Amino acid sequence: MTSVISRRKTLFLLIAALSGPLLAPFKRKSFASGGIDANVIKNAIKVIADRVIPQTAKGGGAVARNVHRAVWREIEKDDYLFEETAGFIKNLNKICRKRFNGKSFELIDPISQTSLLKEVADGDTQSGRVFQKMRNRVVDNYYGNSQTFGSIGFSGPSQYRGHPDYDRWPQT
Amino acid sequence: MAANLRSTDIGTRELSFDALVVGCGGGGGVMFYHLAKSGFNTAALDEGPRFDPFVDFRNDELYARDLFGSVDMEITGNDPVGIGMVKAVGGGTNHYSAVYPRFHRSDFKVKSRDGAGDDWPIDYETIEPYYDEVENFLGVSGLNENPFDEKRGLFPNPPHRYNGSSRVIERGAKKLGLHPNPPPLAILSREFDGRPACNQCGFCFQGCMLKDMSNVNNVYVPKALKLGGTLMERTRVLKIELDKNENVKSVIAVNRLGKEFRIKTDLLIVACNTINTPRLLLFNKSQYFPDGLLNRSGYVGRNFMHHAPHGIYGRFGEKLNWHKGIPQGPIIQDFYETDLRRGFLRGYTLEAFSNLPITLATDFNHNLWGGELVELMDSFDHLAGMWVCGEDLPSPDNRVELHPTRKDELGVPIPLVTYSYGGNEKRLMAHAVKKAEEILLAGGADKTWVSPPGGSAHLMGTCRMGGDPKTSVVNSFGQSHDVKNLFITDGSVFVTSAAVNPTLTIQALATRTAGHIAANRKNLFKR
Repeated sequence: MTSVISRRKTLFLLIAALSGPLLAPFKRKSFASGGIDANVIKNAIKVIADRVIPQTAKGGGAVARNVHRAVWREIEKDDYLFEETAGFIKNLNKICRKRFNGKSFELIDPISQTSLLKEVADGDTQSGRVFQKMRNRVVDNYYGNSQTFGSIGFSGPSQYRGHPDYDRWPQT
Repeated sequence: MAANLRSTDIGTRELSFDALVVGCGGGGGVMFYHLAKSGFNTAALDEGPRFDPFVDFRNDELYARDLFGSVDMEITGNDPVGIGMVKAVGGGTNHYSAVYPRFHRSDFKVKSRDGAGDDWPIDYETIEPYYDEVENFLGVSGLNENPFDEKRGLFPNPPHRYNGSSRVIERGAKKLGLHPNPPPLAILSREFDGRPACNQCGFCFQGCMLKDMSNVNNVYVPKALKLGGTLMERTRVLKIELDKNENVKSVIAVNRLGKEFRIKTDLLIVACNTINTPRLLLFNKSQYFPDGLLNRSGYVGRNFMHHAPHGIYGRFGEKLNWHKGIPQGPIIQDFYETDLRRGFLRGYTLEAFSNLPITLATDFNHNLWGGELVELMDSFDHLAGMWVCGEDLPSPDNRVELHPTRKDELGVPIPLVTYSYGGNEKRLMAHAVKKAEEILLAGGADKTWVSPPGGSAHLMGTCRMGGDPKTSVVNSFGQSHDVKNLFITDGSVFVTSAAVNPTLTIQALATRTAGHIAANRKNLFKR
């Protein structure tokens, strides 16, 4: 009995150890944008979400409400969006590394992040359009979340059937 | 045949009607009802579904945005602002503001009075009785004390009470010596015609669940169906077929499953809106009309006008709860008529309105994010808002065409809209925004925000009416100059945009057209 358990345990440990290198070729990468890893995109989205709706002294903030995860889920399942976002983040990191001693976007300080986003993302350019879409996704997921309603003084739907999070009158 | 036909019921039968209405929106729905009432065997087609408000609508911004969808088009030019259209029976009236002001006398004679734009082939007196008829039919609520409005009788229903945001705007406007007035609204303030009074839920723009909004889907369509009209949802017209006398004889339509079928008709009403009406006409080139149906003048698609609004918001110390109650508030028309001292021609209406969170945040697009966005949104229940409905002078370079390369799923080119503001519009907007900020500050605001010009659903002008076939597409009844049994009854027939919401005028013109058709039935009706 003891040897069966330890063989099973050994097998599990072996699978866990090898799964990373074995699965690596199958993990999502951006092809058109030169092979950026999905984790790089995910982390950048988290930082961008935090810059679009930062936490304040009152609390809240896009990261606290896991908005970045919702935005990532939307982008990940659409190939066109995925490639477009990857291209934007690759461009952002390229400028960042040149300007900040090789650091990627998520590693520089928040003030520099905001400043760089303003520079790259404002205006009627491809980057500007991608940023606007991402900004709007962050806004939709944050201010469409019933957990945010109370913090801005919005009492939510007037008809209780009106919101998928509600099955009764909203409590605010 | 009276039926609400699903597109799958139609199959590929060849159908025949006395009158066919293509597009069952603000103008088409009116024609559907009146022609059915006049004894025509009438059918109305719409490429969208017919919503059941209580089942299909919800008090949820994202849900409503997905439900009402967006329409594929490309917008170019110096000022490619967004364009809002709804593909559904009732069109944009499914979730509009329902603000129903009349045009002013001067709006019909802009060229004669102010030397700008063009004159309509009708005047205020011509359309006045139809304004009365539509307002009484829908039970429009309002107060006839607007000193800038033309003299008129009582509204059929009293005005709605203001919400918190509207009260502070009224306060600010009065402090500056201006004349705020309750907006005329096609929303019931008391029970009327078997529908309930508005319950003040504040979600007009997400679709009215209780049917107190007097729109096409709640009023004209059910009445037309009771009178024997036939409604075909999710059905789209592709081709308009003419006989050798250049009269409409039939159309080729396609249902939701992609099956094409022919509908014969003696009378065709095209009411697909200002973007899709010229799109349909331009797509229908033929030996008789090599540049597109009705386009011998070259005016089909030209002179596109819209009211692209700036939103102006003010933050107040007191809690306003602007999301509660009717979102639409007082209208201010002190700057409606031309005053050359202001530096521009014509004028604007300032309209108070309220916003919900996502709509407010996305009103600013990428202009506002980070700490500035959070500051605005954290003030949500202390905000009051206004928007500018400013006159847009017609320009032939602002136009709707067929996209040269991009097509939709049926192979029809998507619309290509080109739009740029003229100098007059820019000066007008700057003046209006400044006035709105002054009103908010006078009302007690400690800070204001101005959003960039947003999307517009007030679409006008691409098949304008006129007496001269060389410079217009239809006559004053919407009857095309070139094809006698084809009428257009949507905002595309407008000559100028005025500075008010257009739906009441679209419906008044359509009511007049329907009366003209009924009175001249024998002449229009011969095969």
